[in-house]
Amino acid sequence: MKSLSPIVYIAFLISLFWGSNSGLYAQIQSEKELIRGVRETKDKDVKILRMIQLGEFYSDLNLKKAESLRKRINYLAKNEGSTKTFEIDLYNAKIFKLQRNFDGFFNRVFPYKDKNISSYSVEKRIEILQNLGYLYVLINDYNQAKIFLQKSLSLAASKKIYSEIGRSNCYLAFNEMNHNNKEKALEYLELALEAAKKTRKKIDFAFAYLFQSFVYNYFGQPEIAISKELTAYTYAQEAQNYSLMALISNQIGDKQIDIENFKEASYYYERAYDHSLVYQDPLLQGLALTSKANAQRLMNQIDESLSLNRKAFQILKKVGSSNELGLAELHYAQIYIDKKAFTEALVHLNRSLKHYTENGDKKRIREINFYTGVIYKERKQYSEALQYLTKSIDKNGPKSFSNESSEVYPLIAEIYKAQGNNKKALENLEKYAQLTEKSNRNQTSRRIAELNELYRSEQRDALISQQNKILESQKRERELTKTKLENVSLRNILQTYVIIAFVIILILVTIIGIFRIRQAAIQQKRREAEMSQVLLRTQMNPHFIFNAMSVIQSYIFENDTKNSSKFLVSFSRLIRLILENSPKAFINLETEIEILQKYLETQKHRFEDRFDFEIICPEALFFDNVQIPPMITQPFVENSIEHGQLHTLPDGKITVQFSKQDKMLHIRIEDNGIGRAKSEEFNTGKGHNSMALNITRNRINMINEKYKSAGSLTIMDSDEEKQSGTKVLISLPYVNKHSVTT
Amino acid sequence: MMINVLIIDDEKRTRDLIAKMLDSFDLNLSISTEGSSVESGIQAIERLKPRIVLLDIQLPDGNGFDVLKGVTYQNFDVIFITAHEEYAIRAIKFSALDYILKPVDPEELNAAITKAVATVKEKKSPEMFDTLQFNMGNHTKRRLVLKTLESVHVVELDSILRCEADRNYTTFYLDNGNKIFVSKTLKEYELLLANYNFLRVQQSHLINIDFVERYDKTEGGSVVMKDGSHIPLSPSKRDLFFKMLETI
Repeated sequence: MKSLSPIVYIAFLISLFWGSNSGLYAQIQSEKELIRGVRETKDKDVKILRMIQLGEFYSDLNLKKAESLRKRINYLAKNEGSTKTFEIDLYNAKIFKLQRNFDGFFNRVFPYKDKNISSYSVEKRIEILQNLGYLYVLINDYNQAKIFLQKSLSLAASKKIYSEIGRSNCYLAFNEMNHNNKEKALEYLELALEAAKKTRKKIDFAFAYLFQSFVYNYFGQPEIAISKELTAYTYAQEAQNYSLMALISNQIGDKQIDIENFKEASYYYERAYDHSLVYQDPLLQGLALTSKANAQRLMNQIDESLSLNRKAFQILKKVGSSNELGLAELHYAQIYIDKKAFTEALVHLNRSLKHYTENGDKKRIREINFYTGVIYKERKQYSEALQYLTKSIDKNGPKSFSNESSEVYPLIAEIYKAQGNNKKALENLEKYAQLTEKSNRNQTSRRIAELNELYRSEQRDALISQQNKILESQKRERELTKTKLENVSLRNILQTYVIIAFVIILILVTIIGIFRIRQAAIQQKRREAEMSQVLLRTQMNPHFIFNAMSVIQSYIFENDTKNSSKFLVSFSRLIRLILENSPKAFINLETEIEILQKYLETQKHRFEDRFDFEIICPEALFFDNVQIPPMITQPFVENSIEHGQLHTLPDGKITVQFSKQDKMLHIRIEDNGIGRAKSEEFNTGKGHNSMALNITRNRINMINEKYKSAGSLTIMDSDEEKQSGTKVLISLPYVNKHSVTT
Repeated sequence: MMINVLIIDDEKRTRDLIAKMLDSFDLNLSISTEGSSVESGIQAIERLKPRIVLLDIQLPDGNGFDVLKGVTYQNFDVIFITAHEEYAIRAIKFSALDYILKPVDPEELNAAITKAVATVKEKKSPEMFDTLQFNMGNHTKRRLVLKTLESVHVVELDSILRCEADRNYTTFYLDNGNKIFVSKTLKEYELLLANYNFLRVQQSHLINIDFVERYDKTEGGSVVMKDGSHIPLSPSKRDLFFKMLETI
């Protein structure tokens, strides 16, 4: 019921081989030319040869026309006699092969087994040798078959006819397969593929792949077989060989039935029917239809199935091929069993048995016995049921990994149980258990083998990528379900790792983030501080600048060119020094003193010399190249003048003193002005004053930070008792040119 | 009739300079340079009763405002002299008083003195000095002096709804419904009030953002003030307008 028996395969193969010779005629004239050739020829032998040529041309395209030509040739030869009996026999054999007429084939080929054929053309010699070889395969004579096939192979090889090399190899592979020698069979097919690569003919590839599918199917690897079939189908399609396309579609349909994919099966049978219509092969038409009927039955479309099978039966009856008729009858029986019409079912089973007994298909016979047993069991005729079911068991064990025998045992067990024979029932159930276990094991190992095979063939041939895709997707599905189970435990472990990794990453990101933000904040702060420093440092009190300019204006108004020029130069010098040096972090003490000097001179001019000043600095400090932040003293000197009101006093004086002590630079700015308390009362220019103080404090703090020093700023009264005069003490790190860091 | 002018500055040099400049103006002035501090300045004003006082803002014992605070005689025009004091200049402007910068531009000085001479017959308004004092105070409120031909108005900034330009004049719309017509350009007030939530939304309109009722999208978009007036909004000021609205 499941895979087709070897005999049926053989039937298919014959048809395939026939197509084989088409390669030889690939280049020859079109149909019209051939027909004209036949018509215009008067000589009967030449005419017959031309008719054979035309027939062979048709054998690829239209079986009906090829058959009618065969009849005409035979009629012509019979009535008028011909010297071309060899060619006629070959042509007959070819058509019989295509029609699966084994008797006809046998009769035309067998007589040549001992004949001397050396006088014929190489192609014809090869053909007859192949036919003989195949004949022996059919009658299971392994050695004889091998002898003839080897002969045809060496002949083809000597003439480098690669198409025939490939075909001979296919036959040889088939012979090995029949002899249960899988490895050898596959080796031959590998050689057939090599030959096909030489010819580059699609049809040669198609045969090689189809043969591979036969072998894989025979050895119970339907999945690889199906992929090979699909590849073969593509080549057949490209070669426009409808007989082959029909055949392969039918094959694929059978596989789909095996994997219980009935809908797909139905589709492929439909396709097979369409192709066989084109090819005009009634046998293939009937086969496709009855197969489709079976598929429909399995989809529970019983009525459609019955009418389709009827149609198939009508077609097959005309052809009269026992093999296909047996199948149609079997399908009838199965339909009636489903309909519980057991009497009709038994009638059809009997007819089927008759057909299969005719060609000795043991597997089918066992199947028929099984169904007969099933019917008797349903009718509660247990002894008959037991008799048939026991017959259906394959005594030699499942040759091709089929586990259908196992289905028998539970039925037998049920019968024994119904008869009250529990012991026997148990025995049978145990057998069933054993068998299913075995067949399960078989299935597993089969699958592993399939995968290995698949891998190897992938490596061997890049051309089969298409079918591999299909296979891989099936494989993936299988692996998916398999790995799903493993994944459950794996996922748990994985989840743990993922969580741990996630937490670690999170912590790292947080730490880095916090660090960055902090860093950025610190930098920002520093930048801001430095910026404001630069800005504020450069900002000499504008009040002073404009007042100084006003002084110049007054000189001009007095026409005092000497003084105005002198003052202008001095003031320019001061502004230049300020502009040049205030952006720097540190300047030479000498420069700072010059700025201070110029500033005090300007102010003195403004107030008409009404105060004095003095700057004291030991030479050693200049010698040491002492560095000082620019204009650090200026705000305090300005304070002394503007707020200490030195110019309002009779002997106003300001003293600035620099000194070194304990690795610190000390600056002391002292005046004898009105003092802080009184100045506060007047509350003048408060804004600028306090701002300058803050800036100076900040500057000293920054320097302290940079040099890890303890610089300071102290403001006090000069004369604490009288609260007059102001004393400012600044201490800075003692820095010289080499120790300045920027 | 000679016009008494008093110069108060702590630098003798500046006093002499300004006196020399004033001499050259041919304005029939009687100039005295007696004040060099707050104290001496007050004494000089009380004694000389000048009609115009040129007053330095920074003095050794205080500032020019202290002088104004200290005097009992107030019937004089004051022109401040300053080198840089920004904070003071703004207060002066709010109070509609005059000032000149050091170094002194003789033309600027001339214009200021001429203007003071022209209005010298009017009775001086102590409100202007009061306003100056108020604005110099340490609080956020500001008052603005608006001088018209008839009178001197002192208005709180947060009572001004909006200002509308009419060539070189500006009309102030107050929240009590009053209108004040001032002979100064809108541009001047725009500069003065820019930091006090005022925005020139259109060529001839300066509005107080605090008094915006809503924005009307129809007819190209206009600002509706709390008194119901519709003020057109120039497209170039749209973004700034909405930004300022957000900050209220």
